[in-house]
Amino acid sequence: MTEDNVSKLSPAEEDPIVDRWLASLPELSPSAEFEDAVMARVYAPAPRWVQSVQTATRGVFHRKRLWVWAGGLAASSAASMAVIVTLMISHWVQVETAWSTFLGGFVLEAWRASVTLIGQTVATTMAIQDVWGLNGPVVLFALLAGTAVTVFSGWGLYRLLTSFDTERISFHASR
Amino acid sequence: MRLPDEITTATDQEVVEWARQGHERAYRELVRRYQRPVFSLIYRMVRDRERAEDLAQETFVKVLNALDSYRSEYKFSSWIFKIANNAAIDQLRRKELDTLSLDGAPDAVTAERQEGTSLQLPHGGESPLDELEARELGSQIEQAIAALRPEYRSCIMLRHVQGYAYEEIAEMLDLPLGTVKTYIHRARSELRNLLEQTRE
Repeated sequence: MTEDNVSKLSPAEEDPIVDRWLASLPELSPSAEFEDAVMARVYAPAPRWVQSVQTATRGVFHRKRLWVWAGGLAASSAASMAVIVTLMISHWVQVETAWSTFLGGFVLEAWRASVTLIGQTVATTMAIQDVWGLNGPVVLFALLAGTAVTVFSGWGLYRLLTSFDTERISFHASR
Repeated sequence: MRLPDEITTATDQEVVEWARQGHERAYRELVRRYQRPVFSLIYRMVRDRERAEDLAQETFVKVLNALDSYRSEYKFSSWIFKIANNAAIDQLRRKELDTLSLDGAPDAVTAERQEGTSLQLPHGGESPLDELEARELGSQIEQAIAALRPEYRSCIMLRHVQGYAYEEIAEMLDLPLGTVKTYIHRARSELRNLLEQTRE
């Protein structure tokens, strides 16, 4: 019989006796230890929180150079943030003037609200004095530079910590 | 993410997704769902219990460790049966086992090895005579299937034991649809002849 002829077979041409024989075939079971034996050899992705912890700790602490880079970036990010906050608190009048010069009305109002909020929060705890006496554009430049350093440091830190391959772990020790 | 209690009723795709997130229960659920059909298929191909169990284990390890590459638009069952069938065919090519012995694998020479590799046919609690007849018929069908060419065997098992459509079998075995139909038709004819001869 050719393949074409077979393709045209109707269900009626099939053999019910053979169907019954085949239907009587039992489904066989492997041994009772089968499931555990398989699982002992399966490597699964670790849960996401485990991956994060592993990446942030094992990856960095096992490599001295990466640790130095990560620490440096984190420190520069923190330092630049501190400079930004300090400048804003200690030179808020100059900053406001500079913003008004460069950006005008709406942004100025937003800026005022932000400064008020940040100023009230930080000033009450830090009591920072206006000791530097820098003019507005210089402060604004310092703020922008500080923001750039913050963003760059944060981005670098993120890339560093996420550059490792996804960890896969075994559910069980090998048996 | 926590697994829902109804994991046993979830679709294969859902269970695979949970497994990809690292949930051990999802992996175990996939093994529980497919261990019997996969083992049955492989056993009837290689006809050696120990070897079939090893191959079934290899199949699951390969599949579960490669879940990231599974594409959810395809049936999970098709994927795992394809890998199982390939494993069995590779084994047959290596060993060229071609005769069935319900007393054990063809290369089993000691009583212990024969017992370890022999097929354990289940029974349904009938009378001893019924059980004997059922076992005899089961044994004859198993022998008839074992006498088929391996490619006929996998087609007939997937079609009549696992219940797959011709199109799915063609996709699983990488064969043209017409070839699958031919194989199944010829396998059925041969089975009928073999069983009639045996029962006469």
